[in-house]
Amino acid sequence: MISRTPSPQWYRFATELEHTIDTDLSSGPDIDLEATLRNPFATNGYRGAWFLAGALAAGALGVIYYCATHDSPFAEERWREVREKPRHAVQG
Amino acid sequence: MSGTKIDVFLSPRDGSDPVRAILRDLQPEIDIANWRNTWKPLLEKSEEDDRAWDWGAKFMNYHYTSDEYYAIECEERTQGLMLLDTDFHRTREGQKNLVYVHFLATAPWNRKQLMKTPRFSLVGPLLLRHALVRSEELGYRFRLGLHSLPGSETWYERLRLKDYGPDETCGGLKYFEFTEEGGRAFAIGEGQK
Repeated sequence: MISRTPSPQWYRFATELEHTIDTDLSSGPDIDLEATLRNPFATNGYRGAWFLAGALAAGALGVIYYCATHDSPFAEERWREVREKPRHAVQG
Repeated sequence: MSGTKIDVFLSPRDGSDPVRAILRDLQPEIDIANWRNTWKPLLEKSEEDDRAWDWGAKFMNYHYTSDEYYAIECEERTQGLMLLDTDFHRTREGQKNLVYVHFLATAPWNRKQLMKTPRFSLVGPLLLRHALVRSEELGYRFRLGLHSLPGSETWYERLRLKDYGPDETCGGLKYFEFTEEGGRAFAIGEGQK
């Protein structure tokens, strides 16, 4: 039965074979592996863009909700209230 | 087959000394996690044929007793993955048992198509050799079959696997087989250049 551990002969054979086949194939782009793995946005650009868009949308919704549930300091009623308040009341 | 742990060596492409590695049973907590965190982000950016392979799903879905998973680990990274079926597949001629390679992939940083200077060579050949070893251990006399992705056809042609042409039952992928003689020669390391 053949050994599970490859022999030195096998390594020589496989190395030569792979070298022969390699010369038939063109090289690919030069990817900076470590940098790519460190920066998830470089590898998952779309995911990053979606995350940012989601965060912005959530922020905008938060502002709309706040405005809808709180009195605006610029509301016409507030200005009228200030204008029409008796002066003496303000002056004491 | 559980309990597989074989010392192997990978050749750095920069010409430095061979690096010790281990060919072992796939360990999902290591290898699937490694695939997800390191392989997948690189493959998603590429045009590689296997960029859509989901090894996590494969591991969940292929769990018959005849399925065997193997991985090569080196430098604390999974360098290659392979899924075999040791039953349910027969040779095209003679209907004899063979080992069928469902999936075999090397890490993206070992691929010449992706990297100008790939990290290691011999990952694919070591896994393929182990599939042939299993064929012999099971009494299949080095018979092995596989469907090749288009980008790997040249590789299998050069290994002198017998080309049975496109298989319409498998999405038109080419079907290849190692004959007993061819498989034996590759596993031992002679005469297949």
